[in-house]
This record gives sequence, structure tokens and C-alpha cells, in this order.
Amino acid sequence: MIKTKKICKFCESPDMKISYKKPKTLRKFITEQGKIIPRRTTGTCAKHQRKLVTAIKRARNIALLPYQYNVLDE
Amino acid sequence: MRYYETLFIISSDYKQDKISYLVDSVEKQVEKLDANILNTDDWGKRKLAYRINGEKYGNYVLFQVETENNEYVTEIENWMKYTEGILSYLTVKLDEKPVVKENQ
Repeated sequence: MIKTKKICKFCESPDMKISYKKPKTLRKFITEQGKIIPRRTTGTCAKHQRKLVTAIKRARNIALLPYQYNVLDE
Repeated sequence: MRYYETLFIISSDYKQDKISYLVDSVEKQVEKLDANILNTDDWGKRKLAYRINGEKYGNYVLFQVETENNEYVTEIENWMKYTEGILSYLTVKLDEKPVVKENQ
């Protein structure tokens, strides 16, 4: 099987900025449980993944994103 | 000159006049610490991702500030910690000067 190379979404469109204030864009980079998806699956480049991780952690701290989605609670 | 932004959550029990009173007192506190307010942004009521002190909703307010005070972050966070009505807060250092919006 030939693997197609994934391209970093943030490199593709420079207008997309990583910020903890935009939980909707960050939501695409965490799993259903709320874990951060590794860059080997999303294809994000190392530089942007570093920024993503800090942004997600900040968003969690201020309750814009959950630390964990709890299925039983809802 | 350093630039910071502080995002904090006000309890959803607070009504509009109480919120604006609290925001005013935050502004006063910021000015006391030799900091200049560049932007204030009221995000309004939002659902919290998880409960804080048993509350499901909160009002988000954002402040962007310029200062030369070294202890600005520790002092404003310490003040917010002991202020009633503030559920949570987050201060972040900005790399560049934020764009000042005209309509405030």
C-alpha cells in the first residue's frame, strides 16, 4: 500500500492560527475522550504540534476544553 | 514593555450590574499595578467544559494589558484568587503588541 503523505493543516493555510481562545479548531485535534491526538495520525508538523499542545492545555485550564469527556455524566 | 492577556470567568449567579461592577473593580486593580488596559472583551455567558465549584455556566471576560511591572502576573492572579465571584483565571504573555480596537 502506498501511503499518501499528510500535510500539516496549519502550514497549508497560514490564516489558521493556533490559539487557546478557539476551542472549536482545537477540538479537531483531540479524541472523543479528550486526549491530544499524536501528530503521526493528524499529520501536523512538529512546530505546529508544539503550539497546539500548549494551546490545548491552556484551553483545558480555563474550562474551554474538558480534561476528559465523561460519557456517563451526560 | 510587556504585554499580557488575562481571561477570567465570573460566576453565572451574577447578574449584569454585578458583572459590570466586578469588571470595573478588576480594571481598578489592573491600574493599581501600573498597567495599561489596551482591550477588554466580553465573551458573554458560555457553558463550561467541566464544573467549577458546582457551576455549569460562566461569563468570560478578556483583558489585554501592557505593563512594565515585573510582578504584574503574580499580583493580579493572587488578587483574583481571593476575589469572590471569579471562578477561574488564566494569564498569558503575548509575543507582540495586540491590535487596539477602537470601539470600546
